[in-house]
Amino acid sequence: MSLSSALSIAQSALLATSRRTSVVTQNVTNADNADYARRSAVLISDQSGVRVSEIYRAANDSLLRQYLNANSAWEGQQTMLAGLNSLSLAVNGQSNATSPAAAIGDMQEALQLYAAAPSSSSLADGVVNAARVLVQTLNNGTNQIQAYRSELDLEISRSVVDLNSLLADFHAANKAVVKATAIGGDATDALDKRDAILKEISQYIPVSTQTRDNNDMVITTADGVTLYETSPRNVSFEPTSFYAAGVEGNSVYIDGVPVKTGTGKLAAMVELRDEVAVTMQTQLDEIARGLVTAFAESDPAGIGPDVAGLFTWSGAPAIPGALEGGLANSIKINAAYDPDAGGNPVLLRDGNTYDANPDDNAAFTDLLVSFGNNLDASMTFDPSTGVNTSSNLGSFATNTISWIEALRQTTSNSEGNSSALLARVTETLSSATGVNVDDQMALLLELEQAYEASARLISTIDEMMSILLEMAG
Amino acid sequence: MSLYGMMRTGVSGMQGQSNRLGTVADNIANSSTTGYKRSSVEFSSLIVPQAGSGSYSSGGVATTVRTSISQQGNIQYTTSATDLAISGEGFFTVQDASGQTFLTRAGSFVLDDQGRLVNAAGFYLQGYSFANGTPSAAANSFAGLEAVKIANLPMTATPSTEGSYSANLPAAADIVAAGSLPSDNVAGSTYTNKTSLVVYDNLGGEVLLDIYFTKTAANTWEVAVYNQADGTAGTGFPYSSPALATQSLTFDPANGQLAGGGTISLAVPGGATFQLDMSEMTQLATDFTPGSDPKVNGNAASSVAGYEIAADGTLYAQYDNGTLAALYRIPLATVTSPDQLNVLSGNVFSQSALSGDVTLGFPQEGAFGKITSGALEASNVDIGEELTAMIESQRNYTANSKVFQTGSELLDVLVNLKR
Amino acid sequence: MKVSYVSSNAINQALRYSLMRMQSQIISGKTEMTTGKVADTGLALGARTGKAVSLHRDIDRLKGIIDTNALVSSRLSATQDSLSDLRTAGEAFLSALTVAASGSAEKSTSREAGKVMLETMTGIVNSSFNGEYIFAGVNTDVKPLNEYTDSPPSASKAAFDAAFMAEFGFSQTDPAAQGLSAAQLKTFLEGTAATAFTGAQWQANWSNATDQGITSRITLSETTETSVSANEQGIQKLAMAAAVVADLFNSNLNEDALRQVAEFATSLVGEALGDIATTQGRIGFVEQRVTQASERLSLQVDLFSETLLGMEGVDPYEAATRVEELMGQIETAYTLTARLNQLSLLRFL
Repeated sequence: MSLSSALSIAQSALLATSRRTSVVTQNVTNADNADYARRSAVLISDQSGVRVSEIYRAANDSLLRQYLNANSAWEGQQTMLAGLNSLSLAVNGQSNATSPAAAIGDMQEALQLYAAAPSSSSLADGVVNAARVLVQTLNNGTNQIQAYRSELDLEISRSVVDLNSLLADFHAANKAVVKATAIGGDATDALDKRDAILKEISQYIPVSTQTRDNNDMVITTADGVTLYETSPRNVSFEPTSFYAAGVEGNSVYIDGVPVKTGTGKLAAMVELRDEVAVTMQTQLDEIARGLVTAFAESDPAGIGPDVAGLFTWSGAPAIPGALEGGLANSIKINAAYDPDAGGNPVLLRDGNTYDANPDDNAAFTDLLVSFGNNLDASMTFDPSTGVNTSSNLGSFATNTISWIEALRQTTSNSEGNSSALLARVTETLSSATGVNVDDQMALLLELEQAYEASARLISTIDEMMSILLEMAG
Repeated sequence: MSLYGMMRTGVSGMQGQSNRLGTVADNIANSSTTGYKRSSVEFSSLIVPQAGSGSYSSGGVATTVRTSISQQGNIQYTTSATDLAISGEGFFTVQDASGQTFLTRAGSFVLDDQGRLVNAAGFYLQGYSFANGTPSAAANSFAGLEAVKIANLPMTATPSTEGSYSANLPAAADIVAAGSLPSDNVAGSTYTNKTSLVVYDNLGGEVLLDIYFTKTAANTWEVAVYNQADGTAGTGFPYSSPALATQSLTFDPANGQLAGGGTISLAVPGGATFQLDMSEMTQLATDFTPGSDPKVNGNAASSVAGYEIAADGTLYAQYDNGTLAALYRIPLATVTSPDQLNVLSGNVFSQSALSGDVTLGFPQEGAFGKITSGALEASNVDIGEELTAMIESQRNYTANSKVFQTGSELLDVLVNLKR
Repeated sequence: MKVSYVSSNAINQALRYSLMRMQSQIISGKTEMTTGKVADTGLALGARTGKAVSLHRDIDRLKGIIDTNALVSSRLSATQDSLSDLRTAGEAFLSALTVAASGSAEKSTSREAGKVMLETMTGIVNSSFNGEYIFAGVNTDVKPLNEYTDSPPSASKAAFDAAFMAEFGFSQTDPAAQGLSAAQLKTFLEGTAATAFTGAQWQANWSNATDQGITSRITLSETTETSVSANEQGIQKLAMAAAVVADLFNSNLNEDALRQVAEFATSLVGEALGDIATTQGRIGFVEQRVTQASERLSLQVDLFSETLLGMEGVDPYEAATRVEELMGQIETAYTLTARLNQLSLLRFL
């Protein structure tokens, strides 16, 4: 029985070697595929030789989980940082050059110049022009903020579509994994695909996973909302087509539960849309209110109410007493002062509604000086602006810059950290599950030798047989 | 008498060797036949009782054919799941077209046009059906066996009847006041946490259950289960039909473990009564954390994707969604002396007077051995051994013929004495 | 044996990541090298960015105030010069009056001295600087002092004539004036005549200037009046003295009365000179305040600039060294990549 069985063992070795060679080939072709987990053939030997019992996939669940967390965190912070960058650029301009704070400074300078030579109507024009730039800055800032919110809304809705289709892909991949595992087939390709989809899902939302019988995976978000269990849960979002100050965006619902702030791209976009942009809008509105208030005219006789002066708004002639949503959008130059609209900028010196300079004295500076003083006087701002509530308008405007830049700096630092962490985890994950071409090549050499040895065995057995046959012949 | 006797002895020797050569020829011919068991010839001496001490009458040699049925052949792996090999002492029970039952080790079964498993020699594999519940083997008769038939299997769906869910509920959560609890089913109902589970109805349809956990008092939580299909788009509440079940969970403040209300029973819409085991729920001072492994039984309607034969002989149908349904259990038979079985064409054996009675049992029980799917038992013939036996037999035959020749020559001399 | 395993992909990714990071650092390093400022102020300063913006703005504002202060200073020194001129003219008038008071001067000479004084004073007070009348108070686009003319009689002349008429019942050129005593005239000059040169009548007939002066902001938080009005007492007194002399020395008053007029005018001019000196002192004080404010503002600008440099400045040498270091590292990384690519088992198979 020995010669025949030797022959069959050598044959099984040949089969096993060629199977392993195909595994090596697959590994080498996928060496640069980050979503590919290294395969290795597991050999078992029995009385009839050797055979490949299963293809082992070098997956590492804990590292994958780390990667998913790091990926969510980085995507979230990166989105946040990009959002803060574009908001800061849109509202404050390059190096804060076109910020309301800078425009207020220019306005103050123009006012100072005019106050020094109040008889010069061209300097009065200068003040109105500075005021116009300021109003444009505020109007433009509002438009940019609201346009950015619309953009985010669109982006969120695209992400939700993406997430739903990723979940559908995940469903298919998960079904393939479950089926292959249940029937004992080769689930490795389906597992690769499923892990790759999971990585993509983790961009949008932080996930945690549980594995059930037959490798069936359950995905929940970090705060415990079911994302996938046997079938994908619906992620729904109703986009808002138009944004203005005070318009609230809709929540993203996963399985009927609104997404809370957290890590991940989706939460970052929601936070940008509903918190950062809204706070910035409030800040602009309060700057606008400060301007209307600082340039308000009061009755020298002390009888009439204060009325809006150079800066007016939709609710004029009243002065807004508290935070007025969208004021930064409705604020405009009073036409009575605006030479472009046929107005007279010198009213700035003399007063419009109330004539503070009845003799029209050319060097009358009381009003101008009082405007300057008002700009430097302490005001009370709404606490929802997130900055010092009691300061003068100029400081308030610079504080808003500090606010966003502080946020940007913190986010940039944590983005740097999480990007380094992600790079590190990616590297570790890749090292744990990826392919080293040199290693595979060395293995290939080994396989070549094993194949040669098996072939030699077969030819030797063949020779022995022919000796026997010769004898018998 | 002795010359003739010697010649007859030579003839008997030649006959014996030709018998042996016959088995060698068979063995070599069947060296690649699945499940073939090699035959060999055993010789025994025939001694004639001697008349006196001075003379000797030669006898001869008697031959007995032995088949090494109990000798295991090599297991060779194949790619067909219906190729079966036995490692151990058992035999498959098979039937020929006329309905007669035999034993065999040749397991290269394929499906015939009716879905029956038939091996290369045309014998049908026998097994016990699961149609009437889990079968048991009749130890000493073939009663209850039928041909294994795995064609035209219908799609199946199984309604969910039981499941389990566990999670940690946040101990520090705010208490929700009565009136806007999920069980009140009003628009804007407040809950602490929510999850959802897929269960199957009678037709295998997926029913998504929304499960709301709401803290109603210290250490007391309300669980309300709704059918998600009834919910308002987006937010859920209000549902168009009342809660499928509400239950109060109480936790032991000493350790945060569940103290009461661990099982929820509800009627799945269009399905069976579903028992949800929540005994592993905890209430600790951390976030809502779903536990590992929410489990639900039942399966969606799916068609048969393939078959699997387990080592214990159970033949399963594999459905698309990964579930397995047992169809047959393949028994193994054995006899006291397997080597004494009658050997018949087609690698089958039948019970003989000497073999002892057939005993039936299941694989992996006793000495029956186990069934390996996707493998075949090769013939236990070794060519080298057969060739050596052949050479040996050839020489022996020549030697015997020399004896006969010598006897004949001596007779010649004897006849020539008269001349 | 357990060896640490590294995948080919991980090797490539690690190199790529560090290269990318170094390249982005080089870009910001280069910006810092050329501008001498941090590449991204916001990222570098965070919550202090507002402070930097506010400093930038304050520097601009302070520079603006320094510029406007220069303007104020020029106006003040012009005012100072004018006041000095006024004093010189006043002193010359005073000496003419002294002669007149002693009775040794011709009537017409004294009258002429008065007229010249009036014209000079009107000229000086109506002088303008940079298009603005410097003694106009805030009414800088109107000549602050109306001219005093006989024919046609200006409002001031008419008012004086009316006052004389009201006091005595005849005009100063009436022959009856001959009989007025020095005492009568003294009463007139100190009473009815004086009111014509002060308060409402002064404002109505003589001056277009406002009492209110120009208020200027001389530092971020400080404002001050930086002009002199034609309504200053010194100018009023000077105007009265000159007008009285110019007018009454052209009348039928007797010698005695005329001497009384000259004496009255002398004392008035003396008072006026004192008042003008006081005003000059006040203006000098304001001038000094403005100059000091400007100096203080310059110091502040320097300080703010320095603070700003400390906040967002970068040592260009340090930045240059950093860029060079980074470039060295990147080159090493390139070399390493090339080497690593050669270091493959494939080359030996």
